Amino acid sequence: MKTTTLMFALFALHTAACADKSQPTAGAHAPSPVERGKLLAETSGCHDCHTPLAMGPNGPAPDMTRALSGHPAALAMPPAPELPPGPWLVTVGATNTAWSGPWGVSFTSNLTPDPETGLGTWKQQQFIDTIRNGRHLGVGRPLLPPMPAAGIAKMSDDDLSALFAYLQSVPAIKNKVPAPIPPKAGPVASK
Amino acid sequence: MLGGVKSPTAIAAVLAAACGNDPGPPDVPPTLGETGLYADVATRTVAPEMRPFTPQYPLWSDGAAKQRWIYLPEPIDASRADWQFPVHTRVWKELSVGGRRVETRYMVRTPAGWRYATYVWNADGTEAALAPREGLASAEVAPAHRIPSEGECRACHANGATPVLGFAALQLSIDRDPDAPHAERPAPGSLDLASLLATGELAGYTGSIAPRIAGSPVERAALGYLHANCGGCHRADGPVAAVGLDLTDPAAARRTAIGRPSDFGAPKLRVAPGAPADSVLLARMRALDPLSRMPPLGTRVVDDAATHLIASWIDQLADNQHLETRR
Repeated sequence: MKTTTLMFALFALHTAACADKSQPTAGAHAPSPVERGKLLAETSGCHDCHTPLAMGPNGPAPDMTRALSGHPAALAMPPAPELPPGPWLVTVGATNTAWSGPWGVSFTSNLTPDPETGLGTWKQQQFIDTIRNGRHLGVGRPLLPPMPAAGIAKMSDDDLSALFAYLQSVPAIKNKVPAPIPPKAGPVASK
Repeated sequence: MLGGVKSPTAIAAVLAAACGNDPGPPDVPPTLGETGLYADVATRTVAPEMRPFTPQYPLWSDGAAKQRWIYLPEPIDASRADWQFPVHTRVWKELSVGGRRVETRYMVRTPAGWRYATYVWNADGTEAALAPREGLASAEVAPAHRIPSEGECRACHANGATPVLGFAALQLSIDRDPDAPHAERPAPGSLDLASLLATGELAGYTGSIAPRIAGSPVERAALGYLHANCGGCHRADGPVAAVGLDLTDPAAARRTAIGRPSDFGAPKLRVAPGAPADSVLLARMRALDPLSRMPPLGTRVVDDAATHLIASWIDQLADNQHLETRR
C-alpha cells in the first residue's frame, strides 16, 4: 500500500513537473496578453490605489473615467496630519491615491499610456525591472508603500508582460502625479 | 527514481532530467571557489589567468575596500566605445570592510547572456557561499553591509551597451588621476590599456593609451567621479535617459548638468556655477533619505571626500564663467 501511494505521488509529481504550463487546457479560450493582463490587474488590486475613488450614491467607488491614472494632479493635498505616538501609522486621502506614513507621502502613479505623464514612453523591460527591483524604472528611488511590489514581483515575465500590454491598451489620461515627499526634511536634505 | 535524493534542488534536477529538460551545470555555482577565481581556495591564491585591474575612478561603496579580477578567454572587441566582451568572460569584485572580506560579486557572460551573483564570506574567511537572489539585509561579518539582490546587480550592470563597468578606456588609462577620490594603488600586475594592447587583447582599439579628462585638477577629478558613480544610469541610452542628464563623458556632463534646471529641486539648477548650496546634484549626493539619495543603489553613507570635491568644482565653475566672459 505504502509503495503504491509513493508511486502514485511520484507519478503525479513527474506529470506536474513535465507539464507545459504555457499551454491552455484543451477547449479553453486562450486569452490574449491584453486579456490576461486585464485579469491580472483586476485580481491584483491595481485599481484599488491607481484609480481614484469618488463619492457616489453608494459611497466611495472607483472613478472609472480616470481609471488607472493615479493621484489626480488637481487634488493638491494639504500637509498630512501628524499622528500621535502609538500604533496608528498611516493616513490615506479620500481618493485612496495619497498615502502618508513613515516613508513620507506617496502618490499613486499614472499607469495609463499617456506619453508625458503616464507609461506611454516606457518599454516593457523597464516595467518589468521596476516591479522586479522595486525601484522606479528599475534603477531609481524605491517604490513606496502601499505599492505591493514584492508580491507582484513574483509574477512570471509572461504575466508582467501581459500586465504591461494591458496597461498600454487602456485609454491614455493626461495627469501629472506629484513627486513623493520625503519624511520631514523636505525634498532635499543637505549639510 | 528518487532513491537517496533528498534535497528539493536535487529532486528538481532529477525531475527536470526525467522530462528531458536537463538544465546543465549552473551558470553561477553554489560557492565562490567553484567560479574558478582561486588556484587554491584554502589559501585564497588567485589563479594566474584571473588578472587584477584597478579602475582609476572607483565606485563609492560606503568605504568598502575592493579588489577586482577579470578572465578574458579571447580578445575584447574594443572597436567602439562600449567594449564587447567575449562569451565566457568572468569578472569578480571582492569587497572588504574593516579588513575582512564581506562579499565577492561575480558576473559571467554565458552563451545565453550575462549572469550575476554575489558570494557572501563566512566568519572565518575560508569560503563564500552564493547569496539568495533577493540579497541579504546584512552580511555575516559586517552587519551594516547590505548584500545586493540579483535585480540590483542587473539594475546597474544591464543598463548600457556593455555590462562590465570600470573596465573601459578611461578607467584603464595609464595616465591615472592622482586626485580621484579614494584612488587605489593598482595591484601588482593590474591590467591597463598598455598591457592589454601589448597582449593583443583589445581588438580594434585605436585610441590613446593615456586618455584623460581635460581641465583643471579639480575638474578632472570631479568629472571622473561623476563618470564612474553616476554615468552608469545617467546616460543617453539608459533607463533614465528621459531625465536628460548624461554624466558618462565630460562634454555631455558639462552640457546636461551645468546651468540646467532640475525637475527634482525646481527652480534650482542641477549644477549652479559658483553655488554648491543651490546645486541639486550635490544636494542629492548629500541626501540620506531614500527618495532623494543619489546614487539610489549600493550606498547609504555620504561620500564626504567626493562631496567636497564636487563642491570645489562647482565653486570653480563661477571662476571659469568669469574668465570666459572677460575673453
